[in-house]
Amino acid sequence: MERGAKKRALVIGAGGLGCAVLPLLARAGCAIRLLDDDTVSLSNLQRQLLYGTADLGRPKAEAAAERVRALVPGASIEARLERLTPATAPDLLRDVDVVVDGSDNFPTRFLVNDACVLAGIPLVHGAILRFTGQVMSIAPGETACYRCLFEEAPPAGLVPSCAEAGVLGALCGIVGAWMAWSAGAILAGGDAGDGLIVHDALVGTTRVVGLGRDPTCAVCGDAPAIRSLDPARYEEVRACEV
Amino acid sequence: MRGVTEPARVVDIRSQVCPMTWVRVKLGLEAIGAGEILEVWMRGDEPLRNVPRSAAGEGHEVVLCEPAGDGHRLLIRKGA
Amino acid sequence: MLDDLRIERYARHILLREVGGVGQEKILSSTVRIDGLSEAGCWAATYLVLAGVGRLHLADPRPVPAGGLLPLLPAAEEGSPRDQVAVTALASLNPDVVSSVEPAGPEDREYELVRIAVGGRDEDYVVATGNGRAVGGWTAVGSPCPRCIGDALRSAEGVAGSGPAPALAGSVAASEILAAILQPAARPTGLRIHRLGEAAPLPACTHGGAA
Repeated sequence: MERGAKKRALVIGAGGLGCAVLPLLARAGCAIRLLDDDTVSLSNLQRQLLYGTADLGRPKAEAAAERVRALVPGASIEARLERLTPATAPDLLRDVDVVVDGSDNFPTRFLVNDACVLAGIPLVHGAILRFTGQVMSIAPGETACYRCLFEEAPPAGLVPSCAEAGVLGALCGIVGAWMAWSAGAILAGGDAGDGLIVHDALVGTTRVVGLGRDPTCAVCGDAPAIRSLDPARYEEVRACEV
Repeated sequence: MRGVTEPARVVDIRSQVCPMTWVRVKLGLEAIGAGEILEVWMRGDEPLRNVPRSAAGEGHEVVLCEPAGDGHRLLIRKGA
Repeated sequence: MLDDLRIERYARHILLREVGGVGQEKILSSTVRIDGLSEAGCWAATYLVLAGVGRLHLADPRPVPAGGLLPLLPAAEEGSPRDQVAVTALASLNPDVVSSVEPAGPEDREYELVRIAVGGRDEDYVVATGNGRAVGGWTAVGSPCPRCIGDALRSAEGVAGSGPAPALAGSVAASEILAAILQPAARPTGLRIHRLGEAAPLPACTHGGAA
């Protein structure tokens, strides 16, 4: 496929964060490859702004792409009803200029991080939980990566239970906007910083936590132990679909 | 043996799927007074793992958890 | 007020300790008025409706611009009154919310201004956007100084190429308003300019204050 000058983003997840970042990326003229294998459910509608009541049961990637095209005529968005796996990652990352990760589980976040670091592709990570949102931009080998900060997925017993899975819907817009901002900075050849932006919506404050690449990091450090995407490392912990 | 107070409310979540299991229990707890008992009927591993933990996390006390029928019966005393 | 459908729709809010069924009912009983459907106003309206704010009054008869307005008004609606198009679009997102078109509309300024009034609160939440930048916050009384806002939106300190600035400002507005509905205690007042990262307060006004 002819690349031309158009930049391409791989967007992981058409959930709360994906829904907010997709229209912004599309409007900025970015070509988008969107991955999501889930369908729209009622409890999604509290925060996933690309879907309405009539979309219940539809595949999210399809519904999201359709809505983005209605909002941004001419938007280039390729919807794929699949999730990123160790086997498919190299292919899905081909010809991508930035990865925007709005996934909602730890194994996927680590897989995305490792795949991007190994391929040398910049990554924007976002996450929301309860009233807190965070964004981190990763330039592999230069800035901290997700593993520099979080080392490895928490053991199953420490994964937040459903009771801790509440989230303020509007946070998706806040974090999604920062993700789009960071992706735009990366695509413009600039610098999206080396820090973790954290917003507390209950108190109404934002702070930036300076990071820095960890030379002992298992994937982006000076002597990385992780040199390939071994499926055993990213085993899915059964999570509730909310 | 000390008797347990009659439950102020009963919630049956046997047909519910996570996270609606905890959501229903939480709404049941909101509807009763501090110190009162909520009785919960549940089925399956997920609520057994999550409901007592979530209840304790929000300041409530799990007074009883016992096998019942094809699932479990829980008694939760609402915290202050 | 919370039937089975609503319990499921708002489950992720009800799960929050600070919300619960009680908090969700407060949101469902609240009334918000939005004057000015700039892009920031559209982001705010969208998240407020998704959250279930009970009654939403919208005032902005200006036509939908070419290209539409993210994230709510499709490009195909170019030329139709913004508030009317928004009412229809919001209804398909959440039938629980009753939205209506009101008279009046955005104040006439060199920048885009959204004023959001929340039932039961004295302060309005204001969002101003222009030049790729955004300013927002609760206002203590009357109108915030337009010269201060204009200066902030023109200032070199904003972040260039800020396509997402209205999205950020509108989403912060929605989250501030929801927080205020849930916990009515006073929120910090004062406008702040949004940046990637922190939002910085505007310098003290030297123009004689509110207009």
